[in-house]
Amino acid sequence: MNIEPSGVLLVGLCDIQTEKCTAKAPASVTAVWALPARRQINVCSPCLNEMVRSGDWQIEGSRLRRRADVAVFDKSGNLQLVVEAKYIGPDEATLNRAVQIRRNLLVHSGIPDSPFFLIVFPDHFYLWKKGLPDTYDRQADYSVDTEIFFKSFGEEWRNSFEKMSGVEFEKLVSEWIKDLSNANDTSTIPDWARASGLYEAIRNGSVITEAAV
Amino acid sequence: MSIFLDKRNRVALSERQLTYCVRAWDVLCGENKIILIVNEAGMDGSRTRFIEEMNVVYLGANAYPGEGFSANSRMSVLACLAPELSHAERFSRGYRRPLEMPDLLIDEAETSLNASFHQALGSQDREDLREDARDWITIWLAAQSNLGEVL
Repeated sequence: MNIEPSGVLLVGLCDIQTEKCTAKAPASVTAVWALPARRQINVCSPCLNEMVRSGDWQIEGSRLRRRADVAVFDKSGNLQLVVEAKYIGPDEATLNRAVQIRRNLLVHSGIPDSPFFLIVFPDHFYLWKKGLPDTYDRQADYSVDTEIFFKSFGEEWRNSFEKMSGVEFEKLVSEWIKDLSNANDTSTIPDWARASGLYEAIRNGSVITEAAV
Repeated sequence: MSIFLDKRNRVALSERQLTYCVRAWDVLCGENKIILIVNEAGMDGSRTRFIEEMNVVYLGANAYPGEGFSANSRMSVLACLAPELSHAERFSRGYRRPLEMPDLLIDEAETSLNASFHQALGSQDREDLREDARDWITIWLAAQSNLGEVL
């Protein structure tokens, strides 16, 4: 949906109210217009950002703020991996959706063109390795079932996995990436992480959540 | 200062204006909170600025528009504060601003242009920031050509 910000500031409730919403009680919001009918939507800044990052809203002339749910830097401080964690239902969590999210983030400068990019959904994740030539709509290089989480964290996660919030999901993903990056027992490294070169790239790196990249 | 710039408000901000600025800052920052120090804004002639050493932004009276005709003079509070957030974000990514003229001018131009892409800005704010960037570049070009009368 095309959105036009008005630049008008007010105190009120956010009409969107994602998990990151800061205006579920009256707080600072801005009014935007949903085009073409110019319907007014009051939205807080985190929800505005979420709607644009997810590709649900497009704002002509704007760019996404460069941020990663999880970013991993190698020992030299170079960005190696950007992770976008999306807690969405299985109907929506498709490869096409992952491709669309990656495209949206790249086109609108929401993420840098890092050597590796990972989108994590609750039941699958998709890994892109930077290649030449590259296109925004390129299919993922690896598609992996998230059963791997349960192997890392134990079966007790399986139930809570279905009930957790998006923020909890992001934390879990971050912990899993940390485990992967700091793994001492290399026999636990999944084949795809070795074959893609991801493990070597992030080994003993710094894992940062909600990172400006 | 140039003919383009420094025609913004110089009168101390009222409580109501100050509250509006804080609201604007909230909307600009979102989850990425940068501290906004407001205790100077009640003083005439105070200036809005990002302080690298402290990673904070000081709010000044000039957050409000003035009477000049340039984009810099007339731009809204939201548009005025957006470049300060850009300074802070660029700093957090490791970018260090040049401190000397005329490179400082190019940095201001780049920051205004960068700020113009913020999602919360309306089309007029975007246009004003891009015009502001152009004005900074114009001054830089004049400095490069040694046309001191513009500075």
